[in-house]
Amino acid sequence: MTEDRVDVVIIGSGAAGAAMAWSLSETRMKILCLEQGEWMKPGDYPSTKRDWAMQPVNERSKIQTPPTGYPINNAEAQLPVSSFSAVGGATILYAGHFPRLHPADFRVKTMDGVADDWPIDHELLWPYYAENDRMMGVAGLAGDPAYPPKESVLPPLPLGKSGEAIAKGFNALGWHWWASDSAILTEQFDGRDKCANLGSCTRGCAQGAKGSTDVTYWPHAIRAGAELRTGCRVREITVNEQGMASGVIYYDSDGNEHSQPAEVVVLACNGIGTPRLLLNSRSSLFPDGLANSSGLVGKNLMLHPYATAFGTFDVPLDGYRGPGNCIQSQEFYETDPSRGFLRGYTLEIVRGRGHVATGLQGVMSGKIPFGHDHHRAYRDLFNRIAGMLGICEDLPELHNTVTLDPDLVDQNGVPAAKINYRISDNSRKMLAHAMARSEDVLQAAGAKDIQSGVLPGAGHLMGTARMGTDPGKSVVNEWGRCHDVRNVFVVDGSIFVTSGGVNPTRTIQALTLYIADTMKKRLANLFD
Amino acid sequence: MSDNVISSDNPLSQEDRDVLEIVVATMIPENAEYGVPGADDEAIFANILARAAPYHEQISDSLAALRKLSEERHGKTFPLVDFDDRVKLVNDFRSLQSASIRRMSSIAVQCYYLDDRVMASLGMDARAPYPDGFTVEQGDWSLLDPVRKKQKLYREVS
Repeated sequence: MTEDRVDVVIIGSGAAGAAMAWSLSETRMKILCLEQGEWMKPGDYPSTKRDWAMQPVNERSKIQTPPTGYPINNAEAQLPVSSFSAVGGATILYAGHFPRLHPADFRVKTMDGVADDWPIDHELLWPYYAENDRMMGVAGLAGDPAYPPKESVLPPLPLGKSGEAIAKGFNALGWHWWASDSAILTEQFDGRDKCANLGSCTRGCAQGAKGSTDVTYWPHAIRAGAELRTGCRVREITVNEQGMASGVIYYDSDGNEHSQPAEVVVLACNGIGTPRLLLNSRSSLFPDGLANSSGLVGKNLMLHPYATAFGTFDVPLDGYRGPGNCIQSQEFYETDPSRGFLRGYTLEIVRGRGHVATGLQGVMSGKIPFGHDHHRAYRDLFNRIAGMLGICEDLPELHNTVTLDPDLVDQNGVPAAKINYRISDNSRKMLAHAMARSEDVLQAAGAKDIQSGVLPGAGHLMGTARMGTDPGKSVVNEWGRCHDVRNVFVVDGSIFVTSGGVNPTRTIQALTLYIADTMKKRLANLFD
Repeated sequence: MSDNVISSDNPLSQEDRDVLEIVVATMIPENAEYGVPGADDEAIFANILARAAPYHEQISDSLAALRKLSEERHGKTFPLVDFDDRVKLVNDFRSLQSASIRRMSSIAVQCYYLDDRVMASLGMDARAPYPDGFTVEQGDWSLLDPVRKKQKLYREVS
């Protein structure tokens, strides 16, 4: 079945797709977004249920990989990844940590002699960060010495008992810390209510206070005339004889195939979905996949290995209350070669642990025994655990890849993504450093029984369709247009040249707004 | 919803159910000091049985493994071993870390801490977080004063 032609088809409705749809909707072009997932129902989120604390443990797999998702082969991935498909994409489940990249993050080759430089710089993105903050509603605090001056749209999240306790640890060591920038409302904003400290941010925000794009960009984009069609899984991008994209082929939720013609195709499918789709869009003109003359589609996958450290305090902390986001430290963010590795990381404090999770993890680790001692041991831990995660910059490496799995397919027969990923030596040293410094802070804060490790998975997906000015060394140009196919654009984390040591969503969205703006300014000669 | 399984439909055998009741009572016994029931309390155990039903094969496997351990150590089935030895058995059993043992322990712990009375003993309201939410205090922002005095930490780019 062939649909009516549109001007722009955007694939994916998450962080980037939503921002792109909103920005382009002011042009009055016919904008269509195809999303393989469905709208989430906040009334179904765990925090609305009496057994909310139990659900994430038993039901997490259902929330994170609904039937509309696609399979990923992680057999060769040291950090397994997953994908979540719904209107809003991964913003439904993220914690809302919203830091920016540093100026030096755009000049890694120049400053530190590794990886590559971005074809753009932080000054270009700064106003788009600000515009995105106004759309998403970002809480923070001006004056952070870790960043060039930036204003905050909303006041910061409360320190709480947990933030105070760990801040004292940082102060005892003379180390940097600051209020985390978070896409979580601390006041009423744009028709949404402020955070109610439900403690379930990563399982969907029933309050609507967390900045997921289903409640931020999409209402505005749809009001402005953008169409969002759900239950539509794109199989491939089609091309004409001139080597330009002619549209996409997608399956609806009944499995029927549709042809959607479009003048422009925008990929916003994340660092796994985008290369998967490009590689699956083979043709006689593009036998190695669409836009892949460089051979770099699916290569340089960056994931952000995470260090973790948690300790037990003698005093009650925030526990199950509040967003996990609190304060962060970038004491070890900028490169210092004396540490034994290049680049750096951010320490993001985790406010506490829920009451069921406390019991489960305590029992499984042996800290809470069975028998009469169970109750006292449990109460020694309840509301007294806090810690931090260390987001370590991941350098781009050609052997870390996303390819099409030769055997595994999704419900429509589209090949699954296969991940090959190894943690680099640089990352291992950085992880060890992050764990050790986290332990130092927790100890200085008075915590005991401190345990550290590496998070056994990853959720930040970057680098697999990188930006650059050289078509031989990049997939898209400095404003997101594919070198090989001039009416195909990419706006998700795939286009990152380096990963920084911060959560990527804010930068993904700022880049998207910049690319959309550039497209609007160049509409008359968009394909030149 | 698969959790609503009535007793007579529960795929666990009566023998397994009887042993499981003693197992969970050993894992988390009632406690007068904290004013809480044990995990074998009628309401809590009914919830455990309901949640365990979809995993009945794993639970049966766990109970069989526990039975074997009890026979090897004490020459008796688990229900006949005295309480302190049963406590040692379940703790050693838990440390074996098999998937089926983790499943059984997980269900028991989760159902226990879901109970209204247990939550009340922890000072928690027995309700969903939404819509009333919880309170987190602002805290002492003067703790930032030493950080405000720091020189800039980011590198300039020429």
